[in-house]
Amino acid sequence: MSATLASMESGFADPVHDAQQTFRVLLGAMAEPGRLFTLGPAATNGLQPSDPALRPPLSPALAAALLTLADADTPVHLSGSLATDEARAWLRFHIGARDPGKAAGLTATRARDLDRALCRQLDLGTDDAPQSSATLLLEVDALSDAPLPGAVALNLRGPGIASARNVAVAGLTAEFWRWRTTLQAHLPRGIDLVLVCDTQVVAIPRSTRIESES
Amino acid sequence: MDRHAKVKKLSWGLSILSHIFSDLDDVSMTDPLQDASPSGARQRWLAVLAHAPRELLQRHAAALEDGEFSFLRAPEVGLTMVRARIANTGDRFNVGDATVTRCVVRHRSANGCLAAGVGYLLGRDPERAEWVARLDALLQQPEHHAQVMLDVIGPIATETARRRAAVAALTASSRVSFDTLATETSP
Repeated sequence: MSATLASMESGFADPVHDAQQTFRVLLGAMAEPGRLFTLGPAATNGLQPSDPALRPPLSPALAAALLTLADADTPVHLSGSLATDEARAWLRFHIGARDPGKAAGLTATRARDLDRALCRQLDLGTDDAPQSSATLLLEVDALSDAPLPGAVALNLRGPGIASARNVAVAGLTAEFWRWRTTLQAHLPRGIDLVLVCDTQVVAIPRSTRIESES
Repeated sequence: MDRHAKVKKLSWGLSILSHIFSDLDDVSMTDPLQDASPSGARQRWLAVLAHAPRELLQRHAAALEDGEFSFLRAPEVGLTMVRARIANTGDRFNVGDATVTRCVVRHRSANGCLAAGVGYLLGRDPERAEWVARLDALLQQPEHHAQVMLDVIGPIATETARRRAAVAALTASSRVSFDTLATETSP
């Protein structure tokens, strides 16, 4: 046991304050869908130690979001190439969260591993209890508020957006965005998306309408 | 600073608890002294460290190189439910919550070897939990093990045993034995 604990990757440098800062950023991202937020160095310093062997098995923003949102009572499902024993042990040590092995309230995956089977497993909640739906954390290839070559440019409207907001997301297929668009008809059922890339965060909650994509 | 003052205020109440529970776990745990496996050895030194008086721990841990250690889990105080059975029989019941301080540190030795040391203590004392974790990490490094066993664990174990014996002797001096006459059953 001590062999694995000795090589355990670092977590937050200051768990309480770092989680509070990350939570504030996630809250802001959810309140202003499509706006690009960056996690400050204070929140992510502990997640980027100088020794590469001790770096968490997840990218800084994803690691920070999971450490902030999950705990022993919140199952986290890691899917695709994120689902390593290393990553599970890391979550288990730092926040005591377990992976139920199937899509859970908090599901994280890399954009390139996202498939239809996983999307179908996600809980959309019910009309009576829409809060029981899933939050999908996606690690994408790139995020930008300016057009990016090779990225899907989204035009978003809805609560939290004055008129319209544009955001470019690289790594997710047009098919995924079509699926996300079809969910809009089911409101208040749906899933909340949190897109992360390195230390950047963009949230697209279920109430946001994707008007056009290109 | 504020937090420290609070810690001090509460600590006397908990030291009473810790006396009660140090007796409890002596009874209920399997005796690590009889266990010759490596985990048994670690249990043994962690038990010595967990029961070590603060001033002894401080004296030994203050001399350690700061630069070789880093926090994997900074000291934190939490609650744990203490469960017990009356006279070790019957169903377990919840005795009550006890405060526990825990800490995990990583030690990097001169040749780059990593070891993780764990400190779990009854009561609230972040510093003490860190000292225990540091010493536990060192004890897992082969090049430090023998030295720390000799310099730290040995003296602390002797001192703790001496204090316990003194308390036991004090208690025994007021001991009253009630002799009852057993009715003789005859063959």
